[in-house]
Amino acid sequence: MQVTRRNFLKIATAICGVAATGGLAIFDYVSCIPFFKRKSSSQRGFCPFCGLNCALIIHYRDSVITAVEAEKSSFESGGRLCPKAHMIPFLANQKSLRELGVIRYADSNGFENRSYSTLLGECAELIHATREESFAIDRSGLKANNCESIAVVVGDSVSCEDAYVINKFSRVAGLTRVGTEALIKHEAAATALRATYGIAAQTNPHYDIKNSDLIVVIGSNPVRTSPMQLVAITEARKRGALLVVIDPVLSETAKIADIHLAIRPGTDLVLLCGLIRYLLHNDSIDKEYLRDNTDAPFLVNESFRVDSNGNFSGFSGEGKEYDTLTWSYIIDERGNPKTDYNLKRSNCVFQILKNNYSQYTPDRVMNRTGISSDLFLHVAGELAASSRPAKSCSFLFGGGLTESAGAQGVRAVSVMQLLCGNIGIAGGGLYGINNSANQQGISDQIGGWNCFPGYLPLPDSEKMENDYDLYIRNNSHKSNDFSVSHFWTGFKGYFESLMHCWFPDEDAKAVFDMLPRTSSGYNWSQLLNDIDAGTIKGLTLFEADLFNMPVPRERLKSALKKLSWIIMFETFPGDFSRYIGGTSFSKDTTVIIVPLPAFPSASLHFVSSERRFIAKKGLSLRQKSLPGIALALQGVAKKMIALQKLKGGVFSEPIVRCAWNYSSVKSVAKEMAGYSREQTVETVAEDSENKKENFHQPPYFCGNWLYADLIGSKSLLKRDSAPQQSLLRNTDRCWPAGAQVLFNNAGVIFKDGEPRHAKSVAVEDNAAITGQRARRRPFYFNKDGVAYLFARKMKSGPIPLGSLTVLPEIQESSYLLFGSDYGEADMAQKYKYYREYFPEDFLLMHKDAARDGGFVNGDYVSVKTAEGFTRLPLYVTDRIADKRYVKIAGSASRELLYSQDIKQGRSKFPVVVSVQKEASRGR
Amino acid sequence: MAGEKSILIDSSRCCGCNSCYFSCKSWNSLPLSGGANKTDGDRSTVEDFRPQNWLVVRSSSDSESWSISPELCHHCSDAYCVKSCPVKAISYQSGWVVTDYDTCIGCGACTMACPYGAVKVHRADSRGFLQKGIAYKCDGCSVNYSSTPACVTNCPTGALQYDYRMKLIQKALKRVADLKKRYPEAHLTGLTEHRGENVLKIHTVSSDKQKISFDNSLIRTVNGLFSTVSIFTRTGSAAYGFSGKLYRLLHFVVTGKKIS
Repeated sequence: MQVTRRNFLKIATAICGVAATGGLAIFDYVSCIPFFKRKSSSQRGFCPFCGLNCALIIHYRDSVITAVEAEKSSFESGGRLCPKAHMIPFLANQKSLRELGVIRYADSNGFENRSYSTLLGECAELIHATREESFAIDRSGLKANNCESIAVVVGDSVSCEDAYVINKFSRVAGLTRVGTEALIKHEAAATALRATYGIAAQTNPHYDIKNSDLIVVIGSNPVRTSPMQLVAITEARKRGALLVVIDPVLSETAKIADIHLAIRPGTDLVLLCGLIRYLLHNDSIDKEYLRDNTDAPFLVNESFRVDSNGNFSGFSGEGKEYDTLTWSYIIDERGNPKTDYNLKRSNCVFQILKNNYSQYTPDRVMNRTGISSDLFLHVAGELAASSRPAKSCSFLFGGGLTESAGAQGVRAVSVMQLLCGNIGIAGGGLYGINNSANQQGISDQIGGWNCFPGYLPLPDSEKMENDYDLYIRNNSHKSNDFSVSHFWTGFKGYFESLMHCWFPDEDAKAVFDMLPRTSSGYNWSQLLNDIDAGTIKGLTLFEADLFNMPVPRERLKSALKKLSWIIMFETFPGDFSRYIGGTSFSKDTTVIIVPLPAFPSASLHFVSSERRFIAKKGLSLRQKSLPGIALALQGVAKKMIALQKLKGGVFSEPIVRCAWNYSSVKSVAKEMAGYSREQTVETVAEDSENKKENFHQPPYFCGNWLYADLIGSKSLLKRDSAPQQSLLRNTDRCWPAGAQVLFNNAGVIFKDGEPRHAKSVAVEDNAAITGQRARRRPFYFNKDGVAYLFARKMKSGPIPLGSLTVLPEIQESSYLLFGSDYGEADMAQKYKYYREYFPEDFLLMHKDAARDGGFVNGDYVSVKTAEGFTRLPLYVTDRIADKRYVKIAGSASRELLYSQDIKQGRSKFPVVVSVQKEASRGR
Repeated sequence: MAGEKSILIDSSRCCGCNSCYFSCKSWNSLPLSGGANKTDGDRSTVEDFRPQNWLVVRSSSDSESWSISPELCHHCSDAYCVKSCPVKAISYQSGWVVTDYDTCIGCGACTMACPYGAVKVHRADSRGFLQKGIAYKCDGCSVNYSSTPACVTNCPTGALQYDYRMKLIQKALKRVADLKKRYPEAHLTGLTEHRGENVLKIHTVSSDKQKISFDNSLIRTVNGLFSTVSIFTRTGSAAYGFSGKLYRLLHFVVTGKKIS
């Protein structure tokens, strides 16, 4: 109804009448929040507790948050809130929020308050002094330009802008030890996804699950990690979709599932291999899709072999790295891989897969995994059905898969989805479940230990990348295939745009000479060793909790005492900072704690796990005057410049010449999104509409090429007003180039660009775009434009093969340990409120095993492995598949289970442990 | 009588995410109960009704027929709590059974009378919204003038539904018939119990496992006694307190148990 003056009067009269007669019944539809809470201002925002980032409205009054409620039109959750979202008032209202900066000098007893700017000055002094001591222009003959004695660890709740500025600050100062907590949880999956698709990101948006016909959840429990994912799952099931959960424990998700495959822990990979064999040998694959969009027709070097133990050619002994020389395609004279589009030759990738998976017969798989043949065949049949046209299957995987099968688990899932032709279409795709909200956004800024924003690698010292042209040539892969137009072709543009932002007055070549060099392959246990050995003298933490590091905690604690300083940026004290501030910590270490605004009072951008930009404005709450990390670091950088100018120092050019002129968080966001030299702020938004297709040339200034032109300056710090429910391309703030479904060109026929079937996302596009789609390979992050079934970049083998050997018998009082509820446990450690939901870590044990071992529910037990031990309460259940297994729910298992192999290959999983009853109850 | 609209709890759809529990807390400004109460390896449940827990999530730990479901006041049409209240503080409000906090004297008669244990008296010191010596229970979010109860709004799987009663009953009976294949003991409650309850519930396990602890004869005695007592006690607030004390004394004498 159109609102006219007359209508308005009518309505107003009616409302008054109803109010007078019917009393307060009028609020039936007016109110969304309790009456007694409503005398407050409200603002739109989003939830910072998982990758879904549900839209919500925050109500506040007198600098206190009174309530949160879901936005009714929220497409993430459909107007619902999960338990975690109700923690938001607690974030800003709690008393322990830090408002004052404190410092504890070495050899002094207590913390002293300092003004904010003095504190930043102290930070600058410390960083400057350590950098002066250990900055090296050469390291063992190789150009280095780096300082390896300061480590930076970024937590998983910082915003995109903050992560961007942290990366800028660190690289400009020559720091190379920059890690993120997102790396801990994400690295194995990211390795696998990069090796297959060229980029690590979730392919489809969450609400797209409702278009699936089969939903497989493996190694994850969405009910706990992101409950609102169930909204889309429930919608899909109403349409008749099947929910299959693969989990050794009857989890909450498994309870409501149609089929629960209770496999033995650690046998995920074998099950997946069995399913792949079923697909290949029953010809339930999408051959047209394979020919056009994957490397299935590529011919592989003829000397590539797989031996009977599952080792690939180039094997040089247990525990050593492969020689990957034979893992290559045969190249024709133009530099493109040779192909066999009939998929018949014995050395084409398709036949190699078929041969190597033939050993995973249903019998063997059932023997190893312990599931019944009916169930296996049922699931395999359903999966095969999803390879048919207009059918799709979505895979949701979590930490459980990477924990038990390493990166190869995610590889197996990717291969399966490619065989069924489920990538790039509606209702298909892979969903990595993110426990932390901005995991994708932080990874985009800090993709690894050696990355600039936007996954651009630092110059490699071992590859002798001292020449600018060599560096560009090494990183911008050009294909000679006319049909391939991939994003890395524009590497030079991305790099130069970034450097224009950082050093506006310099020539790119001159800048290149100032940048730090690094060699790849740093990891968390090396970090621990370096701290222990005293190589790393200072540690800078941004909302990070080092206790989340996958290393033994006691060793970490003893190593930390050798540091000479720690700078912590944090909102409120967590377990780690209580330990650092406590009496048991070394008195020889200078500790600086810089306060940060809590999530509700900060203005920021996040990137949700579906690669969507979301923003919120800060509320004027208690900490309004505090700047965020971005501006604080700018302060530190300016003080460092002053120090360099005053005292002089080694290699001061990059620091002195770097531009620091951010006036607010908004200006950082603007720099990330990019703008041209001539552009004024007003014209950015208009121009960005036309530029989305033209991706290889970001604007002159662009901090992160992935975000180029996605956020116009008008829409900075605003949430989308009209959420998109359709999967249209170029309508949304998803990177790259607004694609909501990544690689959506896979949904069209290669020759003419016509949609392949009804699930093709291109169906929704207009004709003009459809024409452009013809003869374009969809996987634009890979050199060949196709997805790799045969992933040469995986160091543990190009094909995911599970081990069929049966586990040895274990002794009487020993058990096999598994478990990965880290996300929940981390939340519970960080936020007191969450303990209502997850009170403490505990050990799950099978009823029969408890009876045999003489354990009673609620006993305290000690769990011992070869490497460590922990004390936990015991809960007896019969929801575990096998009585030989025990599971730790909580972060204690990370120390006991984690091994570095997880990144590339198989971990030593599950671990044999002994469980013993403790005499006393309680800790 | 049951109201026009009702809640349906479908325990076969409930996954135990606790969204209902937390949204109830948030909506009604109830304080936290300080750590979920966990037994038998279930970490998805909050077991007890308390003055600040108007809705709890209960779970049975049989893996064969593992059932999780939210439990709240059933809003009976013939409610024992309403009958037992000496000061008529509990009443029917368009199908919901609602406490009037200003009238309540905290005697605890309702806590004894309720077969589900869904109403509790706040005995501790006043804390936020909760006042000392007042009985608290679920009010179906009716006093907050919401169109849908908060627990229903926030349920992601459709385990909680709110709709016209007749529609819901049809839906529920159909669902039960479907469920019989997988759960032979599936059944619907709330149609006839206590002359119809405003909260219908689909169970997947038999109700023998439910905890129902009340004694009809005791209730009847108490009711008779209090309808007499309340005539006298209506005159002054001091007498209200006396009535509660008298009730608790009598209860102690009759049953030998103190009221919490």
